[in-house]
Amino acid sequence: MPRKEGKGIFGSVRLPISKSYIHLRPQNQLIRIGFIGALLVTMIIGLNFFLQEASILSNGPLSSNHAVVESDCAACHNHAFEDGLLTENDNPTFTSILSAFSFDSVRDENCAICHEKFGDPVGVYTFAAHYIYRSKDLTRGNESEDEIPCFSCHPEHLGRRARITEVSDARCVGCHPFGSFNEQHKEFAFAAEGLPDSASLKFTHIYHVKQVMAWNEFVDIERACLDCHNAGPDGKNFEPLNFDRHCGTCHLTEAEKTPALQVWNSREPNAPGVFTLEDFRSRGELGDEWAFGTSTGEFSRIEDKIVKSRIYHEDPWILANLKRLRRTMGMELGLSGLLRASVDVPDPHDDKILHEEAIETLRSFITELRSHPESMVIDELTQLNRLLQKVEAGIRDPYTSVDKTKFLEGSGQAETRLSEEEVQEFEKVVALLTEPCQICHIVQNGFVARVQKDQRALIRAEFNHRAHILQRRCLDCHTGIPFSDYIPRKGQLTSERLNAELTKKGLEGSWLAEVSGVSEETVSNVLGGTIDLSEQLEQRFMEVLDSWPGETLEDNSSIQNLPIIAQCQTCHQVEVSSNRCVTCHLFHPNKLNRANLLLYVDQQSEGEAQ
Amino acid sequence: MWPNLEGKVRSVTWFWLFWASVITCGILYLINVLVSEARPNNPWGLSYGIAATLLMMGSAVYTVRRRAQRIASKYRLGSTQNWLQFHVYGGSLSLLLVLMHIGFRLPSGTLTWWLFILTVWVILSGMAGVFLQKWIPKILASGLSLEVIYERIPELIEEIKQKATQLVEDCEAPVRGLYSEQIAPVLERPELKLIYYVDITGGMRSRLKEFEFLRGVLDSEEREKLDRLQALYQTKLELDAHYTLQKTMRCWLYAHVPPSLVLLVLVVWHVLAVWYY
Repeated sequence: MPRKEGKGIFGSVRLPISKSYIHLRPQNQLIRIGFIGALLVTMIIGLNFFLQEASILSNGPLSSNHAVVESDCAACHNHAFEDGLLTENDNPTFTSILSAFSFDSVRDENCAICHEKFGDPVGVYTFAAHYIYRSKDLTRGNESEDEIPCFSCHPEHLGRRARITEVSDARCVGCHPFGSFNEQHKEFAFAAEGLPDSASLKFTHIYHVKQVMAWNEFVDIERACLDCHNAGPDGKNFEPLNFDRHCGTCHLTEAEKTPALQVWNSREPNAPGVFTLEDFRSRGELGDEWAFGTSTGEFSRIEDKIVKSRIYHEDPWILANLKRLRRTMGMELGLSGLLRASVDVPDPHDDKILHEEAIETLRSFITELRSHPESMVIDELTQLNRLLQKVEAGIRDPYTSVDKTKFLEGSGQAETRLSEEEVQEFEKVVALLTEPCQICHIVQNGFVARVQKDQRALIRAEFNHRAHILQRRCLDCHTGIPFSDYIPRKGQLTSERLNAELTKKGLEGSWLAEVSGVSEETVSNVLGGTIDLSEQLEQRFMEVLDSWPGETLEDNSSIQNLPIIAQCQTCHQVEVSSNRCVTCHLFHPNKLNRANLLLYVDQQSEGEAQ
Repeated sequence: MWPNLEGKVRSVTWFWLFWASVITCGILYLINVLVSEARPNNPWGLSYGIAATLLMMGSAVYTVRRRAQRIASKYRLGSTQNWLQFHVYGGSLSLLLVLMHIGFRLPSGTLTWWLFILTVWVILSGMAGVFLQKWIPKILASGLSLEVIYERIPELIEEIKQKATQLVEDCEAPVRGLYSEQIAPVLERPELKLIYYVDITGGMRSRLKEFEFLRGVLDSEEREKLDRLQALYQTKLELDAHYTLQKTMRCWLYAHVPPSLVLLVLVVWHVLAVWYY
């Protein structure tokens, strides 16, 4: 049979087909190369693990904060068997055996070795400190199930330049249901609850700003603000207000004196009246030493009345008389006699102030008693001094709670032995005695109300005035008191404004005419808008308005002249400025109160020492 | 509404399953960043990492499945086609999950850098492989008149060389000259030429200009021999095209398979390291 044409060949050039089945080349070589590579990698990692502290296996270098312990894994990671996960009594399971040879998660205790002294239940980095959060309310420090370990917020192995203290909002909103600052942060408590300022002073900002501006010839209102509100060295908050620096220029000048006061009569010891300087000198009570350093020339006596013609801030004669009157009225009980001002503290968690003041008084007593020659007295004083040192040390600890009930026992609710009429008579003397004080201070129950000097507000946020003043002026944010409406700048006073000013104060044009010395007709024409304000008239009216000191609903010391959250939100949004939780808040808020330099002492050696 | 993908993708079901998974991952990640943080070590990040590991391992099983036809048939382990689809789509999805695992940030550790680079390399080389597997057979089938098995190419070139040598023995000087100077060197061995990636004919027309020139000066008998020589020459060039492009398909595996194995071992090390620390 002839061979079929084209059989066994293919293509135009008649190439032969394969004589046998073609076996494709196996791809084992691929696998072989892969295995060699894998083996090589395993060897490198293995050698690195045993000889070079597993730097390859590490998820990354530690941040520069922790770089010093990079080569010591066990500084942070515990071996599970060290934690007792596999003990002799256990019935080992596969998991427990595996776990025994692995590292445990990083425990907070390991962080605390460097970051906090041991055994401090409210140490800086504890959750308790976070719960208390500057409130000084120790009852808030209860443990919660939501507590998470340190590494959850401060993950490591993200590289040397990682900023592990910058915690995202997601960490905070897990517990705080606020969400983003510009949309879900709740209103500040003072605004939401309409809380008044607890400064305990009678103070009108507008009047004072006008005076400061006039005195210093300031043009800007803000310059006047900063004349009293002096920023601290860090620019964040303000220095406490100080009478001598901020008030003394105008207040309690040489011209100041008390009204004529009824002098106490030894024949009627329970009748209301004030002690003279001689009375204080002669009674020789503790705390009366000031009387020997006070000039009798400051007093003028007219029969049974006395006038003190030089008044000082915290005037010892007034305070001593006030104390004596309180005592006679039965208003001073417990330890309140050791205080210069009332037991009420503007911030209820600042009760330590009372103890500090009481200790200061007791120390002055000790100083007075040191002149006694009796050795028994000296010994007693030494012991008392030690006791005070101990109490002071306790008070210095920010998380030691103090009990102010000793100051309050019966205070203000005394079962006075005086009749109601007699008490009223005493209160009249108190009112007269403290008349110079009451220009600014509130006097209640025979006490000058305690003043909050530190001007602290919104203590849960980290506000930096210096950083903000570059962006906003004082009055852009502090709009609670309408300074601009009351302090018109030159050329801004119009008839409409003048009308508004008088309406606000409930006054009429006739009053303005009388105090300004301008004719009623002219004032009427100005207010009616029929004639324009000349420069001279504007100057005159501004002087009148500037001298207006009265408190109004728009300007009094109870106004919290702080921005509400909406004002902060205008800038603190993603498109304009940082709006993260940590921009204003700290998780560990009281770092200044951190452990002392005995951090290096470990628990074991401490125990041995004890 | 939906595009007709019949004939464009190997399996429409796998294709849509892949994109549904991608969208699901996207939604999950969006929820993740809204309610928590994108971190490798929180429950979200660990879930992505575990899913990526499982997909990588599953994709790797395809290699075993290919080599275990009998066992696969006996135990009905699914068709190779389905395993291939899982290998391609699952592998691609694992890259997305790895990126989600690391929160779309660059890693910082040595091992994690290796893992990252190798993952990207393996997935990209895999995608390149899918492209080559689809593109090369198509241009080979459409642009060439010949279909050959890669392993036979050297043998066939030898055959062509012999035929050409025999043919030119009886030819006149011009044809012999052309052969010895230009054709014989080409017929020596298979040649790799980049030109075949852009022109499957390898610039055939310009190469045949010498033949056209000679054809005009030869008599009819010599012209016939020249035509046969030209056919042999053209076939050699087509074999070169096959050689170049089929070799690419084979070499691509070297860029994909060994790194994949190293990657799997590194993943194991990574899992051990995470567990250990």
